[in-house]
Order: sequence, then structure tokens, then C-alpha cells
Amino acid sequence: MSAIDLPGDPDGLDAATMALVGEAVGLLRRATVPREEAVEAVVQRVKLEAVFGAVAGTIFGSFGRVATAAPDLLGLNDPIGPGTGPHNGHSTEATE
Amino acid sequence: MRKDSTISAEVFGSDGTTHTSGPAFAALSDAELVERARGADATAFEELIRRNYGLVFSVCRGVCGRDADAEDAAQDTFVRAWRALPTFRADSAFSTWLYRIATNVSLSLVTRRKDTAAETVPERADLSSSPEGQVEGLERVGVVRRALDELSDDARAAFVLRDVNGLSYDEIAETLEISLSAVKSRIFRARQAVADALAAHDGEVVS
Repeated sequence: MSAIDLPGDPDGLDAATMALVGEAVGLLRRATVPREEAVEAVVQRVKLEAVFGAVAGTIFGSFGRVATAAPDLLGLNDPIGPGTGPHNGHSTEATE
Repeated sequence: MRKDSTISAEVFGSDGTTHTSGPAFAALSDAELVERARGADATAFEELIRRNYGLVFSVCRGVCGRDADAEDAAQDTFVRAWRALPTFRADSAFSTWLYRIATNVSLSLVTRRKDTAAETVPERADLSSSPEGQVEGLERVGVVRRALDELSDDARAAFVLRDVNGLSYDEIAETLEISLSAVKSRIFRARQAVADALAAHDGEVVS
């Protein structure tokens, strides 16, 4: 079983212990084999997320545009803005 | 969702179907792929998944202790990374960021499943070409994994991040959100436990 050369241990474990640790790490690395099917499952899941995100963005974007436009459509928006113009509650003639 | 570019045009067929990212993205660095993925280019992210899955899986496997859990955690890691990509500031390497997510996801999964009885999962690794060597290799892997299972979750995570995945002590401290001295003590304890377990196993085999 091939051992892994580990960087020196700063806390002073002896060489024999570090050799066993290196062997353990080598065993773990060789025993950790990802399955190709698992990789594909992740890719498909993220693609679904991407599609869902795009659809959700479109739907909520539409809601947002409708919500923004609704006051206009209902005639609730004052295009000039509050406190401005001749109908703002103050008569300019009265002060002159 | 898709970026207009020469590479994307090669990746996405004229009929709008997607193809495996393949060589079109092979020349790009992780940082360049991240930039594309941030523009919601899922195919660029697919390449990042393929490049980094092995590293992420090894962190998840080391922390979770079971293949099935590790696959769940690895998948969750990439989904979270995809969702959080707009917030990734590229202060660190993309792989380091993934390590952090993978570690946190794995630790959460282990905590959630703490009460679940450990199941024996068949090993998939081909540890040796000879049947005898394979059996002995599997036995020794089992010894190491049992020793790791008996450690605290963060000691196991620190060991895996340092010795299996090669992160620096500083990166591990940042990932686990513990002090540098705590990282060192956990790694020390984990190394000692793993070495003791193998030495005890070897002693039993010899005697």
C-alpha cells in the first residue's frame, strides 16, 4: 500500500506515527472513488435549478412589471408628483 | 440565461440543444468559468462541477463517513454554490470556497443524521490488483475510517481537509471557523488516533 508523504507535523509527532498517517491518507484517497452517475446527477440537478431560476425570474419579473404599471393603469399615479403644479393646494395668485 | 460568446455558441447547438461542455471550456480557468457561470451560464458551471467533483466528494466522504451521505452532500454543495454564485467575491479560489461549503454541508448532514444507525456500505475502491491485497487494503481502510468516525466532527473535518485535501492550517481555521491552535490540536489528535488504530491493527495481525 503506497503511503503519502505528508508535510512535517508542527506539533512533533514522530516519524513512525507520521508514516502510518501517510499510509492512512493513501488508503483513504484510493478508497474515495466518485461515481460517474453521481457527477451526472449533480449536473442534471444544477441544470434544473438553472431552468427553474430562469422561469421564476421571468414570472416574478412579470409580476414586478405589472405591479409597477398597475398604478398607471388605474390612474392612481400623479405624473407630475405630489406638491407640484397648479393643483397643489396653494394658489400662487393669492400670494402675489 | 446564456451569454453570447464564441465558446457558448460552440457549446449550444444551433437547434438550441445543450451539449456536454467538453473541449470548448477545457482551456478556461476556474476563474473564467466562474465569471461565465455568474452570468447564469449553466454550462460553464457544469464544467466547474466536473473539474471539482472529486475534491468535493473526498471532503464529503471524509466528513460524512458514508458514500451515500457523501453523494448527497456533494450534490447539495454544488446546488448551494450555484445559488450563491452571485455572492462569491473571488477573494479566495473557487475550489477553496467549494471546500468551505462542502465542509459545512457535510457537518450539518452528520449532525442531522447523528441518531441514525451506521450502515455498512460496500466499498467501491479497487485497492489492489491481488484479491489478498484487496481484502487487506479494505480491512485497513475500515480501520482508518472507524478511527475517524470516533473523532469529533470538527477533528475529522480538520484531518480530511489538511491531510487528504491539502488545505493550509489558515484555510482550515477559516473554513471551520475555529482558531489556528484549535485546528492544530484537532489535526494532532486525529493523526495520533489514525496511527494508533493502524498500529493496533498491525499488532493484531502479527500476533
